[in-house]
Amino acid sequence: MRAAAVIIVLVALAGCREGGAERLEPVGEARIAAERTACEARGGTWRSMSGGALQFCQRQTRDGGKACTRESDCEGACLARSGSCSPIAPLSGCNEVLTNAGLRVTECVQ
Amino acid sequence: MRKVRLGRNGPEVSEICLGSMTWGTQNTEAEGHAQIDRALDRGVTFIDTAEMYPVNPVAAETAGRTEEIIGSWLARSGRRGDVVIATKITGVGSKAARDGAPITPAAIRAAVEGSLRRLRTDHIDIYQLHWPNRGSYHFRQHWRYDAGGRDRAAVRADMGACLEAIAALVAEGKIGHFALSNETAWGMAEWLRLAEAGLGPRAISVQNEYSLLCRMYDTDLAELGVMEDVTLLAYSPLAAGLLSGKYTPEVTPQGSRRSINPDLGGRITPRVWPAVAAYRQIAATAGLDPVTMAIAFVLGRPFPVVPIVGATSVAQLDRALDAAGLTLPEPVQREIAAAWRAHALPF
Repeated sequence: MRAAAVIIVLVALAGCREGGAERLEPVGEARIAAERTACEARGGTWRSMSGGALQFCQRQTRDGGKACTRESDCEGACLARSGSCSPIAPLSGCNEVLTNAGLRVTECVQ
Repeated sequence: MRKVRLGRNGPEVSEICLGSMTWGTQNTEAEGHAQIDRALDRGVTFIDTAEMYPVNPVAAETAGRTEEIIGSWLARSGRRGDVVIATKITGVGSKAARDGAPITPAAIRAAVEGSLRRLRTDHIDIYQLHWPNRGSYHFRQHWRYDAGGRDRAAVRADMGACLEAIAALVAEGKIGHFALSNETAWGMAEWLRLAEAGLGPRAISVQNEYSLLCRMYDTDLAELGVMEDVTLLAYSPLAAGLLSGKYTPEVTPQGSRRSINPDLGGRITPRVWPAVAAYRQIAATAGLDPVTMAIAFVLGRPFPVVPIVGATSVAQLDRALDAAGLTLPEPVQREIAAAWRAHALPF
């Protein structure tokens, strides 16, 4: 009887290993922490704004300073005043940018 | 022209930086543009300016003109991607900006917007505080420097608030890196500590005066620079032209800085003339241009350093840029060491 119980437990554990439920994705603070770790591992910088209400991963672009006339010329934004690609992406705060149609607009992310 | 990385994570720049503070007073817009064109032709990729420039004299009416001259060059040339631009917010007590108010988070944001507009760009690569709110020993103030009576908690809170404002502007893409100017060893260490505490970006450089005649950086700040990867941006590496050999007690060339500023900001003292003569003699004996030797001396110092060279003509600029890649011969270095002992702190 005792041997049978041990076998049942082993079968149950094996079942957990082989065909158990999918690992749950982290949520809430655990998810933010995981995304931050992944961001920094990629060489990005984790930004926290508005008292933590807005958090995001910012990365250096490879074409920062390159001349541009529209957003599609750049990895990030096409900055309107200088007509050059942004050195980082995504931008926050208010920036004058050129859209894909080449229109000058003020884009605010805050 | 060799390239060096500023600080621990700063941009790669030419080993010599082009100064700009005469553009708008001693130099016209066209002359400023000609200097930028020549400097870039010779491999320079780094320009330093400030919201209060030009100087000689500093005035509210002219403040910002130098940035406008750089801005018109950027607009004309379309070469924003070819240069790293450093500028500065004016410090407390200057008549050039905000009626002499101290640097605050609000002032930083307003000053950055003003500089971006005049420079006709969207991004300042390096943003510097021109001098600390708590005071400075630079510009000959070391003769009467008094660090007593300061409220440590208030100073640290003030620095922390400014660093948080800088961090927000970095996140917005308006500033690339943070740096200081006319700072002390304690000040730099504190800025680094606040950055490590998570308040904002780590400072990459400190812009202080440094030359054969002004070597206060050689001790405590030099150690900080080496140990903490902070680059000295050495301003006045020719000591306002004194090391070019063009001045003597009796001779002041027309159009020179001394013809406008007779004591060269307190650098003309009885002890400076024998020091200038000693370095001029060392250069002459070695067959070196004294300007080139003075800049090469700065480049060869045993700490991270980039000299900022200013000029009022392209010909003067060429002499300074000739120092790029030059290592002073051992005998010249020994003679300079002996001259320094004989003529320490001439101003």
